[in-house]
Amino acid sequence: MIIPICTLLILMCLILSISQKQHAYVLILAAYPLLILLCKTTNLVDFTILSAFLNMTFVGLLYFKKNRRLASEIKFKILFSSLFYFCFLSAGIALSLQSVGTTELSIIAAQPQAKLALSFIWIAALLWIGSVPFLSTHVDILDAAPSFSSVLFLGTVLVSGGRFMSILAESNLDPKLFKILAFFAGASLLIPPILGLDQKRISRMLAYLLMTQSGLLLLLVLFKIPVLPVFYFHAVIAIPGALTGIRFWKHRQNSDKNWEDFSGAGRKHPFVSVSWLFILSSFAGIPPSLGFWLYGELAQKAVHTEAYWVLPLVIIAIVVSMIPIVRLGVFMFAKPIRHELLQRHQPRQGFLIIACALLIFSTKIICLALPNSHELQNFMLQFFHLWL
Amino acid sequence: MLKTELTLFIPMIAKALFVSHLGILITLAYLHIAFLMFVVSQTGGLYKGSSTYETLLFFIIIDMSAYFSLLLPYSWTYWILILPGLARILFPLAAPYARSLFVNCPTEVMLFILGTTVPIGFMLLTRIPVVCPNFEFLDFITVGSSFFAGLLFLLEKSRRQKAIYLFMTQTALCARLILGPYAVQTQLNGVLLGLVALVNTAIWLYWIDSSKIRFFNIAFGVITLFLLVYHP
Repeated sequence: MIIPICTLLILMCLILSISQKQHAYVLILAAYPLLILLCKTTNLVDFTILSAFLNMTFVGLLYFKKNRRLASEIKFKILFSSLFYFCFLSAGIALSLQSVGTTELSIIAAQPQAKLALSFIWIAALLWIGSVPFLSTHVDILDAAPSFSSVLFLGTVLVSGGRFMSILAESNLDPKLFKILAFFAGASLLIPPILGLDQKRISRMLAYLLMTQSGLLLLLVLFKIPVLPVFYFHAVIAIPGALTGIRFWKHRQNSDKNWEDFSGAGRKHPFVSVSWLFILSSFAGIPPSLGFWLYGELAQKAVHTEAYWVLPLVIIAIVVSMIPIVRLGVFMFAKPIRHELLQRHQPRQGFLIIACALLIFSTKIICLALPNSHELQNFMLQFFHLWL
Repeated sequence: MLKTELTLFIPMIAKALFVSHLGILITLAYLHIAFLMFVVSQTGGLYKGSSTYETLLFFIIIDMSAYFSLLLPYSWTYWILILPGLARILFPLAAPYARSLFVNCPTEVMLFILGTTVPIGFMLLTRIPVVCPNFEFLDFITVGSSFFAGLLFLLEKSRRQKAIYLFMTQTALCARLILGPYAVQTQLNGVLLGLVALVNTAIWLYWIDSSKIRFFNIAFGVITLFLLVYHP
């Protein structure tokens, strides 16, 4: 019943959105029930249909982009990657129907004869979260899409993708498949921040930084660490905060801000700047952020299972991710204030950034106050369901 | 501004004194350095911004490596675990940041950095939960570093840098006493002599233009060195 209503709403908004900007928010609201359903579904066919609707939402949101030519390119990229995604999912559905006779994810994952079907489904899952073989499309979308669309896009793929993959990883994974997936996870954790080092545009650097989350998510799923709700919460709070940070300073109409555009920004707006850097540091995984806590949980579980290779991986990922953030901090606090910064900024967005930083910090305190993982898991699950 | 930082950081340092878990202590020590760098970056323009950038990255690397190395069951992780402590007490081989950070740094800020970072470094060294796997190598690097810092002290022309190098000759030997196979009393003596050397350096830096006080500082530094080599 809900799916047809959502579909109608989305189609209605798509038609209306061409001329009126406020319908973007209606579109996001309409996409929200889809996300809830997507997180709850355990059936492959349902997942395919719901994710198709969500992709339509992303495409619909791109109508609000001022630069129509760029928006068309992003739409093309989303449609192209969606096509690939549905090809892999369709192959997975066909093969699982042939070998197991069902499209229930948990049953397929538990069947040893469904190896080929599982491979296709895993590839689709990697594509969905933008893991390393499919990184560039996601980075392009994040970099160029309007911020509310980017927030919805990345938040959705991480939250629903994590749920999707955790169902797949619940039964014992084939050791060979585990090694391949661990390789992709490691590459997703390291390659984006390394590519981000060379970026002159802050939005592009940030897009690369955000894509490390796909690697962290994959590792959390592979090691079956019961902190996924905390990860989701972190993603949905920190992504808006991080992306809003670029939009807060309005001194340039063009969104392609470079390092120099942030000179002295910290001196002019210290609270917003510190909050924004804290949110970015949380993605990188530096104390006292929530990201550091997630990396700590991952490292402990990895040592417990004697997977010591995770530790250098985590250290390198943290250090490489922090290099551009520290540089940004130096530009913001050590350089003199640009005269354009004295006038133009957006107070509402500043409030959002500070609120996101405070939420991340308070969640970290809650995580430390509830050291028992089951207790924490239950707490966060309840909170997450309530929030959804 | 310095008063605000002191108000914020005295409780943190006081808290660190009572923390027994090395991982938590490393986290607190990292936060302390991050805040210090935040202060320094705003004091000396672009050049200082560049040196704080390098310093902060250096501490991120060694602190994070030490934090996660705590989880590993290998004996060689000892050499990573001691790095955050050594870097904070300005051990010559572990403090490449010292020169660029302290050049053109306001004296108050410099004293603030030394006065808060060095005690935390000593605390980190005393809380290492693993025994040194190779004492001969430890002896070699500590005595060698002290000698190297002594050479730099003799070659250096800047009075401020001279004070830092004299301090480095002493801290290398303090690290030898703290980490070596000595009795607890000797380790405590090492920490106390290190703190005395810190006070001596602070006096030098504060009255940098007085040649009489500098003579006293050098004489006192030599006595401290003597006590560190022929420890009671």
